[in-house]
Amino acid sequence: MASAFDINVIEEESVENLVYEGIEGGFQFRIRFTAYRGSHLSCIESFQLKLDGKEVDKAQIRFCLNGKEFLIDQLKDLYQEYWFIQDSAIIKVMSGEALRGTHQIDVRYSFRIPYTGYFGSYMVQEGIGSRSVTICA
Amino acid sequence: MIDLSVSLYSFSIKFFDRSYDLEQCVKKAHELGFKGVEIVAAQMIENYPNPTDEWCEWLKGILKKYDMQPLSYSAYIDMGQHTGRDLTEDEIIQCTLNDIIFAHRLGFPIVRTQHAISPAILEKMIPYAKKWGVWIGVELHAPHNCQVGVWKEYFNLFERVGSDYIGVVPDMGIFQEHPHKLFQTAALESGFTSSQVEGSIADFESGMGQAALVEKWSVKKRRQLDVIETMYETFHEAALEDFDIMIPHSRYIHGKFYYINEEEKDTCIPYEKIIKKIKELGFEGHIAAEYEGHFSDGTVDCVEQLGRYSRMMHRLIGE
Repeated sequence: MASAFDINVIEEESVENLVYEGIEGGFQFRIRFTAYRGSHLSCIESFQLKLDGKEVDKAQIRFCLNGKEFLIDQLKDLYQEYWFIQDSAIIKVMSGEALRGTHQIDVRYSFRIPYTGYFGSYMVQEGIGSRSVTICA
Repeated sequence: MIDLSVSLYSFSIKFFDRSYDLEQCVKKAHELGFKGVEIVAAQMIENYPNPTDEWCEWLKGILKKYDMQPLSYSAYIDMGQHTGRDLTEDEIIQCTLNDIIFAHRLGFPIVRTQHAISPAILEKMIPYAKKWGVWIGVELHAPHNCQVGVWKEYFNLFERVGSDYIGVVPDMGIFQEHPHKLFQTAALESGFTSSQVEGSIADFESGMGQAALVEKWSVKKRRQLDVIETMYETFHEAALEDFDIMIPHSRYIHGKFYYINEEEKDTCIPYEKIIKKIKELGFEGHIAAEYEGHFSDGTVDCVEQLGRYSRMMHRLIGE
């Protein structure tokens, strides 16, 4: 029995390949925000993604929300982009290769709670997701 | 006259897992016998912090459809929304003004805010509250009580300028006498044995400090340290006499609860004594049910809990 918000942040059956007119761009999946209320994207302090245990270069990751796409390094400035608690963010991995067969995806991000603690020190929580996916080519 | 309302925050689990949308929360609030609603803006408002005109009209229609009074627009001071710095005074004023305007547009007479607004900025908000016809209530939440420094400043302010436009929203969690059942279950889940849970609660209640307790029970695991920290942060029992200070400046109370048992009793927060006390003091206004068991146990049915709370409170208020 744990907090209601302590979920696997990677949504089930959300992994899809990104193939544009026959050319492989990479793959994408959906994640949730693990809190009772939404947050400004600037509150995300770190974001790490592993594919089959190997860290994905953050320059290949696009964090997509509110109809826009951002690089991980851009998140810290996005105080005007709000992640509504019922919405999923799409994580696009522009690795140039679609996924085939079975793969392990692991996500871990941290975020500060903007109304806890003041004068530069805030409570930081984590969202963690882990899924094994099988994609039939 | 004491009315019983509900904070839609109580449905957090169902809103988060998408089994309820906002309309279903309002509908259920009506079915459970509550009069009005609080909305936590940062949780349930689409396009927060700037909902569209269409959305505002839609919400007003939903509240009318289920005959629910708009009561409190629950706002935040998101001090840490910018990376590397806190909000400036201008930003706090403008985001609170934004909340005031949306509360007005949606018909909510109360804006609940957080103590981080500071007494000085709250005083500057009075002309805005007057103009837009809202009352700004600062939530007094655990681990605070009326003796905490910043609250002494707030009550000095209310004494000086009155509480027609600003005041306090007492959260009943401050009167919690004993860590609740769901907290104890979470403590067991973190790896404590039941005798360790009982022993550490007894030590905590006898006044042992956090560091001494951690050492005595050799708490080392991160999850267990978190449990101990939560106990110290959450379960500070304020004296019922604090109501003597709060009630003259309050028109809205947060009816926090974590678990109501099958006999429809709260064994942690002394609601019988609370209702008796606020009646004696002549409190007039709404108490909004605020279920918060979801942080300890996501499997408990919040609707069942709200039903038990509603029946318990209607009984106590009617007595």
